[in-house]
Amino acid sequence: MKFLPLILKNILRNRRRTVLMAAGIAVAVFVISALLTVEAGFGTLIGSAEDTLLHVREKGLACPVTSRVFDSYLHRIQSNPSVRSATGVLRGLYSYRSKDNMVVVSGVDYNSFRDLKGIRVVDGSEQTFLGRPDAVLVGQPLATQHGWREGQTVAFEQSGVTFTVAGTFVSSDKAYENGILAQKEYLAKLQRDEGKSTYIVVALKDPAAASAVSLAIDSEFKNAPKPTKTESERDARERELSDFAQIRRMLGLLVLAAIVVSIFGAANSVSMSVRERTREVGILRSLGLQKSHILGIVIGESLVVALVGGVIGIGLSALLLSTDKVLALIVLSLRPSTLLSAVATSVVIGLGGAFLPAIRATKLSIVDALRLAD
Amino acid sequence: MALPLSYNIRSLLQRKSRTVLTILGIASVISIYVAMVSFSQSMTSTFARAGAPDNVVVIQKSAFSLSLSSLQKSSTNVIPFFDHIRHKGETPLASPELAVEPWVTVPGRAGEIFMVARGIQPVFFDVLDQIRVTHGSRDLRGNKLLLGPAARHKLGGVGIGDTVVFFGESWTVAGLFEAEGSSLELAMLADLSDLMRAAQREELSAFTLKAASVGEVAPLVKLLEDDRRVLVTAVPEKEYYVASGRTFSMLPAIGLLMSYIILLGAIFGGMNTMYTAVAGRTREIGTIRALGFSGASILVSFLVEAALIGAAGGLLGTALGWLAGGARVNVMTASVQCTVTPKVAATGFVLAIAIGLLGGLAPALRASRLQIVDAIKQV
Repeated sequence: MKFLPLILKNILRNRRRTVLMAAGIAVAVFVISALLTVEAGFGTLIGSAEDTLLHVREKGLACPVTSRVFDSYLHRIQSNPSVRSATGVLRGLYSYRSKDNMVVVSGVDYNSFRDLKGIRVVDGSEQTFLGRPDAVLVGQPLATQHGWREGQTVAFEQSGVTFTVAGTFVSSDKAYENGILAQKEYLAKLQRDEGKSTYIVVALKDPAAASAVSLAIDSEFKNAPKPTKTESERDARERELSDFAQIRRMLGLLVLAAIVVSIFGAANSVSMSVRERTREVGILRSLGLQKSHILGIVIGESLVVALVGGVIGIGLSALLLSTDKVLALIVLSLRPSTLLSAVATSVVIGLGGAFLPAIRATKLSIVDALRLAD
Repeated sequence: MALPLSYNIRSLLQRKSRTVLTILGIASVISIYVAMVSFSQSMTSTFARAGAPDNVVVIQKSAFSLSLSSLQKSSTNVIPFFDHIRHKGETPLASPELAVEPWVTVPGRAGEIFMVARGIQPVFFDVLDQIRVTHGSRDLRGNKLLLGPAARHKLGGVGIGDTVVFFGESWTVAGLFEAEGSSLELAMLADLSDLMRAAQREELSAFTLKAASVGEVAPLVKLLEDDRRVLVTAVPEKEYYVASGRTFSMLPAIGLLMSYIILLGAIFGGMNTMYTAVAGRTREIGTIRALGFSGASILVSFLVEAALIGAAGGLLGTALGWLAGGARVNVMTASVQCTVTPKVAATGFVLAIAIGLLGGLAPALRASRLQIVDAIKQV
């Protein structure tokens, strides 16, 4: 620690280099925190699904929106003594302006759905929502993104549908916040899906009965016109997102590449600074500083610059994500854990960049270092 | 008078490790850029290649996609008999289809695979005429399948005679088809009635119609959309696939945006290297000037040096990016085979030189403006 003033002096000595190195790292950390936020978005989708809820949908279908089960199943499921409550959700995809703006609309039976999914209306009122058939509640991040306000009508022109915004909501299940809640009957009529749900969410009296109830449900509808597949909501969510695995790996590769690039940059910068100060290293050594001290000074310098760059990069992403953004299925929101990983990444970049130049600096013999007149 | 190129090359070789680090940095950035741009372009072109200019896709009014559409039985009987539809002999070229996305398992392998299945009748091949059956038979009755290259890849390379399982039934691969590298190649084609029975569907998803001519596409679309008996959305086939590709457009967009930002970072790195190169050679620059070389030739010389670093990084980077070619990315109903075009590779190379030059410009200007006396005096 006593070398901190020396480290800071050195950093400020060649300001241009310090600024360039920090800027390079800031860019990398910005990219990394943005990509980690996307990954965290996927994580939240899965993480906010509940183990204790069951998810009943049409058997065999991979695309989660195309499933249809009959609402008549709902009553039969509710009559199972282990079931506390159940509600049907009908989903539809609507494009707002163009197909890159895909919005998931969930038609729900509001009262039962609200209790299961912890829906809380933020702006607007439940009464308005329940009062008119075309009223919808919009997930808060989606509403912010499009600037939709209470009382506004929102037209999905390509789909030929217009909804009236009754308010915005937040939910304990983040998977709904990137979308819209509509009244199930109205949506069913629009989509010609009367009497059908995309899936049924089931709450149990005793979570331990989950697998028994799942089996009971699936065997009850085994020979029905639409056989079912029942599993925990968490498993269902994981399965729905399983086909994104390759894309998520690709994002991971990008993160890795950004780290490697910035380590190259940092190593370059640190090695320049070490080389310029070869003589100084000789002097420090002859004053009695140990090799480990030199190592510490060089690494310390790199770490400080990397951290400054990292903080700037994180600041940039915080600026970009000051409000949550919706990216198709996922909600991008900057999480403390992402910030921590970004800081950790800057440390890795700082250490990685300093490692070789620092070792080289310690290997210099005092006499050679002093003799050099560069 | 210009400084000889060998001067720059020797200078670079003298600072080997720094030169190598800068080159590696630029190379990684350029390889990311080339891979991401190629992925993005391939995604777009895969969807753009699908469809024929004289075809029309008919789905349920306002349905988001084929697999979310179901046509009322009453309209199913009417649609093939609209005006403007081409005929082959007595048969209207109207292909009834069922589109579903089943979980597929391959016996002997773990896991379920997200696939696209399309139930068709023989007329399908006359309507979607870009589909070419390369191996096996078109007769699909009795749970037989035709697979496109993308479908085959996603199923882990199954071939003719192999079986896969979906909707609780076993299906045999009877043949292979190609569709000009378009997004249609992800489909498993099955017999319409087989698939409707297995998926327990009673309604069709869509019709693909062949208009009598390209000019009759618009009147056909209008006729269908205005008819109150059928309640459908009719879209020219090419338009339909381009739009469905947009659903996935944010995926390459993220990658592209990120690679642009990383490019910016590489400029900082290049600048750093060149500034040090100038600072370390102040005296040398003074000497060169004293020998009679002008400030302008110093400027050019340092820019050439920066461009050399960029070019080396660009070569390595495009070579690495080139490796992304052929890689396949699957996500839900999209399957993209990444093609690196020479144009993208060339752009990557030019960008690398531009990064070198941009990074080298300010330091080179500084070098060219050094006063001879001050420069020589510096120790």
